[in-house]
Amino acid sequence: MKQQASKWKKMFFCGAAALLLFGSPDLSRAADAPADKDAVRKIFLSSITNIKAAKQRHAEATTRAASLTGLQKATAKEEANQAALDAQAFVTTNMIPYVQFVTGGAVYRSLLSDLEEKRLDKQTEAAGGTSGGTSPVSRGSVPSLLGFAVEHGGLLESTKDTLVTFRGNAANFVKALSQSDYIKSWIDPDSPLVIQGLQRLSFAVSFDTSQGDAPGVFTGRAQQFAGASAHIDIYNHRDPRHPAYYRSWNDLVAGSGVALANSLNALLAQLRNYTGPARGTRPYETWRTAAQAAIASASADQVEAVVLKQAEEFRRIFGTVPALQPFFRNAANALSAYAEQRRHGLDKIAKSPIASVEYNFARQLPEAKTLNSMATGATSTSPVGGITLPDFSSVTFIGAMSFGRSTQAPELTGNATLTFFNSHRQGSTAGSLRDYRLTTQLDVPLRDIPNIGLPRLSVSYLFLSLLENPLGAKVTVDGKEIGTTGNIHLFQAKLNIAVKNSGVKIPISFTYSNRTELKTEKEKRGTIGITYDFDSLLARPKGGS
Amino acid sequence: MKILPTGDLEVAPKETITVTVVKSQRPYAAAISDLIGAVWETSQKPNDLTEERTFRAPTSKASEVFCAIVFDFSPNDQGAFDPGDKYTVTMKGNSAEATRIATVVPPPIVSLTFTFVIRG
Repeated sequence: MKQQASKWKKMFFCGAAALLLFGSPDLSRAADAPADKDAVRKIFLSSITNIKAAKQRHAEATTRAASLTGLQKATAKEEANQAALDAQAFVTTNMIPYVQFVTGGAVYRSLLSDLEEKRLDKQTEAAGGTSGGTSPVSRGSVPSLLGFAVEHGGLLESTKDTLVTFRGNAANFVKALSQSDYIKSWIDPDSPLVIQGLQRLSFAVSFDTSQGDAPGVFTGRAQQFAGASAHIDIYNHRDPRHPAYYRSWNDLVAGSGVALANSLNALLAQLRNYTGPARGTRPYETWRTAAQAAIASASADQVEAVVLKQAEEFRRIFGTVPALQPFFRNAANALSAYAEQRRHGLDKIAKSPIASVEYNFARQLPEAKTLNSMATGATSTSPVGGITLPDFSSVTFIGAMSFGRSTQAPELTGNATLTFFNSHRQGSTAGSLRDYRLTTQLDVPLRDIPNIGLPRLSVSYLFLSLLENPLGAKVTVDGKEIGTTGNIHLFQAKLNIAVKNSGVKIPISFTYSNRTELKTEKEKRGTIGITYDFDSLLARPKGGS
Repeated sequence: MKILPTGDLEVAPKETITVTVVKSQRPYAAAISDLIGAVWETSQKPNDLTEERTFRAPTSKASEVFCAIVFDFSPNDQGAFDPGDKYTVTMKGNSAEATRIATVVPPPIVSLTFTFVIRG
């Protein structure tokens, strides 16, 4: 009991450390900043990001111009001049944020993608059925760069050890590191076929921290190696940049996009023509001159404050002018229609079906360890003189589909797995096929918990038919055979809490099974883990956040 | 065409203006408005990342032509945007005076409105 409590404590500190290491700066900022200011900042994020980018281009071109002569100097100066004009333009003619700000700002929520936390289909932890793993199912998608998971307590082998899994895509990871550009890490139709093939392939390596010279400490050495897997997408069109969706993007901009552009054009024309209460004044010209001057003299750190101040000024001057209201409303309606069509399209893409295949190699070290501990104090064991067990491999076919088109729709994942022994003990008459298993899991997103995250409830059922002794050899302790053939029925309920804007997920699960691979008694257990998806860390927009 | 300090573009009466929008990565997702004060004379998409349009400036001195463009960027499957992706908008007249080149980066949705003022 004491040992168990100590392990839970260890898991808690592990989770806390990961949160400290990888936690989002947004969380800490949200705690001390007024919520409405944060909302306004989100509305103007596109302007702030573009102004900062323009200022950076301006600074770089100016520096370059200083060291050049002749035509090259003139070209660099022109680049700097265009960048300065861009910074002015984004504060005064990017009308979308102003429309949202003046009309209440409700639209921005549908513009910002919450896909990151809402996706249900990504697997960070060890493959379903991995020795020491806590997930009965292998999921259709994996992190496109790198994922990290710590799980405690194997589902099928009655172990209580901690499994650390690294999962990712080698081609994308190398590409992202070399280009400092995470998002390009997807299947680009212009990439060579070999690269496209590699990008469909991801890997996972698991380590059992109870093994090796320092049990309980992750060393990453070969002694702790517990398994590895390769995952290949056969059909996965969940990236909105996939060529299959080019036509949808085209239809979006040709319809709602043009209507939005027309409404914004009409608004700006009206703003320019609006004459203020004082005769002959042009309030837009006055505001524009002040806004452009403020942005021109602002440093990169001051951009956000300047933009937000100009937004307040804009709303004060134009927000209640009756003649402008129909134009703001028209633009808001057009924006809302565009955002709705866009969101609907993205939700549909996020819920498209997935088919993939996974190969999993499992080292039977955890079982050997459990077996040896069971044999401790026994009067007789067979075979005598230690246990060497064959490793095994499995092939899993994975399918996933959604019930509905929203990112909040439940998702069903199914697995069909065949597991083979990689070798046989000398003189063994056992067959190569160790087991077959069928797994299904239903994921249901729950209501968002403010300031904490988005929980997801998963319910799984696993049927596993052991055709051979799961250890690959007949082993007895005090005359009792350890690990027998038969059927396993396993039910699991899991609550997975995705911590907002951090990529951290905390899975807490309860599992019941009629038996395990090594014990014929019923087993109930609770497990807790922590996973981290590096995709979300590297995907954060630069400059704007 | 001449670029004014305010960012407005001064054009000569009857001057032909070419507006070109180029995206660096697929998919292209920019929407160009109808013009206020003029009409598009030509419109073409030479490839799936480029759109090019032309119009002729009106003759009325000091009149204005407005053009808004909405720029969208596709997120990846995590809802994130490629910070290296961009739109380049080029506004060019038929004289060799000046060319306005604007750059737009994610996150979306971004709009820019260009105002052409007819030289008086």
